[in-house]
Amino acid sequence: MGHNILIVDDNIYFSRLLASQLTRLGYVVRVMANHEELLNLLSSDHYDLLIMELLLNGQDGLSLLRSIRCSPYSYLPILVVSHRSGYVDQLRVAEFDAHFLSKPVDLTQLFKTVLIMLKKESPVGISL
Amino acid sequence: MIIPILTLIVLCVFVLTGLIFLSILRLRFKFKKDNYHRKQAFAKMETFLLSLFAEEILPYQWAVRIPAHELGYLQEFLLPYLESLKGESFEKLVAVAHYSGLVKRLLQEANSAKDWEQAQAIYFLGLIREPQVLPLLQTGLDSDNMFWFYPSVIALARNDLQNLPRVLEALRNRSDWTEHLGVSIFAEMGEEVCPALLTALSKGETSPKIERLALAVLAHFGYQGAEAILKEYILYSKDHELQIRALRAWNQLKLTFFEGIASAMKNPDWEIRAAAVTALSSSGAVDQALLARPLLRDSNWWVRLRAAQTMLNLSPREELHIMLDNPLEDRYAKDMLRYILTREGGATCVIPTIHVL
Repeated sequence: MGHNILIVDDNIYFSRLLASQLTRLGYVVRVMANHEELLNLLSSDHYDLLIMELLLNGQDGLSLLRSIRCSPYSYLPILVVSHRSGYVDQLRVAEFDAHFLSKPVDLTQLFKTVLIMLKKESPVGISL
Repeated sequence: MIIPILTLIVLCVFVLTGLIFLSILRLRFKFKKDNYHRKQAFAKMETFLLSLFAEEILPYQWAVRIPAHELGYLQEFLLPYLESLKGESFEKLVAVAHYSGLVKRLLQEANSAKDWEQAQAIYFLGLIREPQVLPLLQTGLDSDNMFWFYPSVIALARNDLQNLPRVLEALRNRSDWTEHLGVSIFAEMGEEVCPALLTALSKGETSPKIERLALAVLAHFGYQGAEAILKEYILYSKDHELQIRALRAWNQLKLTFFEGIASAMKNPDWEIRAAAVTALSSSGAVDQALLARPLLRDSNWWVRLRAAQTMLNLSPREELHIMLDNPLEDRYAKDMLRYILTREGGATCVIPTIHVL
């Protein structure tokens, strides 16, 4: 069975595309459009990676990062894929020990990053 | 005589009410029907999109299956993907837009007299870097119509770095734009814009608004080559807004301490003092921590707050406690230190080092 990945992004088109491509690569993916229930979800299910946007319907993604890092799930690897791509945002994301990719994003680069973060070869052996 | 007239009026009212009711029903039905068609078209397009990215079909094979009346839906459907993707996936979607005839239609709409239609067409064509739209964008820059100006300037910025002087000139000549919009325009051009902005500043940019924008953009990209120009602004600028921007950029870039920061900490303007002491903090100059101490007694609350944060970042904790226990220490300084220590204690969070990459 593949790794569990959670995607939090209010751009449902983008997250659905990402989910379908990652599912094709053998991962088990769940998509959320906002982070209201995120901590509850993390407590009920196990996830190996969180992919998230910083701009979530006016909610602050950086506070979400802080609350995850202050929660029992602080170990969770996080990949931020965001339109907010300023130097300061990238520094703040790095301070929370998360990896950053700015939008627009190259899907191949994104999948490579996911692969490296999960430290595992692609489950179905698709070369990227 | 009166009774038939009254009956006629009542009848008219009934007929009018009925007509209005029927129109509402018709509009509602039309809206529902449109919505249904839109949903159907989107579902179909999503299936094609997934097949396209799974390399089961080619862009051309998707494009030929899009009827002309669904091109509007295609434009709406492709937009969020084009804004979020680059590289091969982006090129594939651009190919779909070309093969389907969407680009051709948008080029016609870009010349349309309807403002909104024109703005949407220009935005889309700028996003896909369509070269045919460039002459139109140049005209858009001179337009007073903001529906034309904004998408034109964003699209032009996206297209080529060579358009920078033209974009700067357009912004210089008008006042109805915000700094936030300016930064987002240059963010579209990428970090490569920084050396060109630096050159504009070195050559003596005449518009303070452009100077402020340029400093904000350099800070946005964290451009390390900006150090010399920032020093110049901190030391010699007579515009206090520019000095503040330069100090804030210095802080954001986390550049090392230099004497100009110490001088700025003595400036009569409290905003400059606050920005300077923050820059001292981010420089990490532990040996200069004492410079923040006099500002703990500053008349301005914000300056005292920034000074206390700087002390907290640069000095050993014991030193702060010695200051708190000193009966001769200033009361306001002690209050601020106490406040910052309590606040910092409450927000403590240990961030684990995972080293994911």
